[in-house]
Amino acid sequence: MLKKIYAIFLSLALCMMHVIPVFAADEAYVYDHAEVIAASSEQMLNDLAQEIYDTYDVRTVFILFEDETENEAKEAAFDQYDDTFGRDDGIILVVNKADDYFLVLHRGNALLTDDQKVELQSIYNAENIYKDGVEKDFEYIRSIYSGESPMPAQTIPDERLQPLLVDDADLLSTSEEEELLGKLTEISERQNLDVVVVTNNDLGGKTATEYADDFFDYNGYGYGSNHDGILFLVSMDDRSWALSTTGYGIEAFTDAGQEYMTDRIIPYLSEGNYIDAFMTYADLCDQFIEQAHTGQPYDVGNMPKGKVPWFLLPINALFGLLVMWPFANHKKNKLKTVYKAQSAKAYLVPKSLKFSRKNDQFIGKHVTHVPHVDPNRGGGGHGGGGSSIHIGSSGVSHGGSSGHF
Amino acid sequence: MPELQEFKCPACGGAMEFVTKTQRLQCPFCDTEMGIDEYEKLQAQEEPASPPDLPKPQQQASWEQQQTEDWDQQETSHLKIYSCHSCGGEIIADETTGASSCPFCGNPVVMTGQFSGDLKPNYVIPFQKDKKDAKEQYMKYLEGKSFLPKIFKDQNHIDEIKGVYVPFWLYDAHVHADMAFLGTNVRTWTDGRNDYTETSEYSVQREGVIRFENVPEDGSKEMDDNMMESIEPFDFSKAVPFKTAYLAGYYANRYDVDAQSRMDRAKERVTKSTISEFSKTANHYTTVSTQRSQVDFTKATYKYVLYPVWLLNTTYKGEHYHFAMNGQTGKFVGNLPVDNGAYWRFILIGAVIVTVIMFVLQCLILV
Repeated sequence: MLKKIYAIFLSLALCMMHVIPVFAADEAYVYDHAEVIAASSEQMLNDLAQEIYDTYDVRTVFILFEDETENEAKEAAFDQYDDTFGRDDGIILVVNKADDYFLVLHRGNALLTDDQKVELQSIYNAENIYKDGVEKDFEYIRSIYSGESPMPAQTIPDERLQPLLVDDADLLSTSEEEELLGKLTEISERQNLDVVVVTNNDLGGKTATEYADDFFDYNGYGYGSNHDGILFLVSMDDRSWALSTTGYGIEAFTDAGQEYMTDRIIPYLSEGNYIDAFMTYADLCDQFIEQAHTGQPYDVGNMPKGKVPWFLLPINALFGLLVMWPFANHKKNKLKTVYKAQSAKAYLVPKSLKFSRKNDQFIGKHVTHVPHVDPNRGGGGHGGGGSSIHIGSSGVSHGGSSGHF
Repeated sequence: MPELQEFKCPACGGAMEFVTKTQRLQCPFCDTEMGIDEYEKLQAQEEPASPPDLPKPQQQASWEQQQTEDWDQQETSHLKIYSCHSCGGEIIADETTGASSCPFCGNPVVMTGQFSGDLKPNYVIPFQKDKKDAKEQYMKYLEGKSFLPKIFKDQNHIDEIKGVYVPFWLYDAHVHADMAFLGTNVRTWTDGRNDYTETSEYSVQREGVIRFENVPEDGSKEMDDNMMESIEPFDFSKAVPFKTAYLAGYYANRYDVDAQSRMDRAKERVTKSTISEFSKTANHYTTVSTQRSQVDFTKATYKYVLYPVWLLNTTYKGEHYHFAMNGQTGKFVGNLPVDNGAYWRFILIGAVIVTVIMFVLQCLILV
């Protein structure tokens, strides 16, 4: 009896043994549903993917479907990936046996540019053997992550991904948004320069300038190859604001010009009047771009001239009165010539003044001093004018300024 | 009857007058002219000179019922009556009047009693400017005066114009003054780190003497003192010893304010000038302050003179306006009415223009 039990147990155990290797291989990067890749090759590819993951923290996955449609394949791929790797950064290459499609999906932050995706496809198609194609693709991905490839991990889209007005902090009512967006659109289209307004509640640890720069770049704002544009960010995170200029925007909005603009916009923000702040911003942008087209953008010594305030009139009138009054009095006094004589000067016998004592005696002197104040210090930093620029995380140059309200 | 003197022309018997251009007596009827000295000699020959030595003739007027007005006691005591030698008419004059003209025949007369004995002036400056000059100066005076009512100027009407010899007291003063000042010199410089101020102090002393001569103060109550001071200065060097003949044809008054009364005013002016002259010698400092000033008069003498003054007056809107011209130099003074409307219009229109100009400039600069 005991021998029988032991025999059954042993055979069961032996059966299990077959199963165990399958479970051990839970980190599978290659899923060959059509059975076109040899087991050993599969193993090699898995090891390669594992290596890549160990080094660069990105899962490179290849799934080959039999005859699923593109959408079916996509869904299944995501399911498979999520089951296996959860929320890890990863790139999933999805194909079917018939080569009807070649998908490059991403999970997490593993973003590739369109060019890179195209590259992957061409590499894959260049190989005759599946295994080679996958291997080369994995290598290519590795090269991207190792920095050998010139493309950065995050991409700059060609088309605008977001509207000209993004009010995440909900500072504007719907009608205000409509009105503002209409204005921004009109100006941007007419001037061929994106005039953008963004509000949010959280800078995610970045500075306002960084956030503004990145938001502009990675959301594809900007006209033309230079991405001409200006973005005004208001963040309720720490009540900060930032202007970010790109391309022609850098030229049109000089440092001094930006100061001029913000001097007129920030007070509105401080008093919570956001719609007026942004409308003023839009109008000023329009005016500044217009001016920049003349070849002389607003800058130090060349600032826009505002309206003459009305209260100058009574001030001028007062001044006029103050000027005329003594003048008139002088004329009036000519009418009166009868005065008491002030002195007897005309009757002084010339040279009759004789001194018996004439002393000028030095008594003493004292010296005091006060610290010297240089009148020129403390002025604005824009001595020469122009636009200062910095480079954003995308590598694109931006001009701009920032502050709090 | 107080004594009247007329200046009879030896040729025709007409009344001679003193002419400024020639500084001689001239007969307006036969053009005979002669110098003052000449005439005096003539006078001396004809009549033995017996200058009355009474200081003040005491004759009071006896009033007849013909008088239309009632003169009360106060008024009559200020008046004297003279009888014109030429026509016998009564000349009623103020007690100080020394020279006048007969209201009936126009003959100029001199009340010799007013200027004889103790009352005889030491000197006189004869008129250098005549009536024509006075009128001309008046017209010139009205020229170029803004805010003068147009009607006033256009009317051009002089009520009265007369040449008067005004009695003056002339004061000479020897003055001793002792003054002390505190002078400071301030120097500033900087070395970039600090601004330095160095103040040096000096004790300044000035003691000495100074002299003034012929400071005039009018001795006539009726003459406005300020007006008389305003037509100064008179050039005493042109004064001559007094002779009644100079008064021929002009009005004259003797003094009714004595020398002592006016001396204080003269001293006031002299003191002011003394301090000014002394201070001038101590003004080469950054700042000067007077610590002490002591002014004493070591000698103060006076003379009695007659100075020539042309008086004019006119009436405008019920107000009398008086003018005076220095009969020696031609200096013209007098207060004129002010057209307040014109004054304010000037200010307002000017202010409006300035406002507009400034506003336009501001628009040009700022827009």
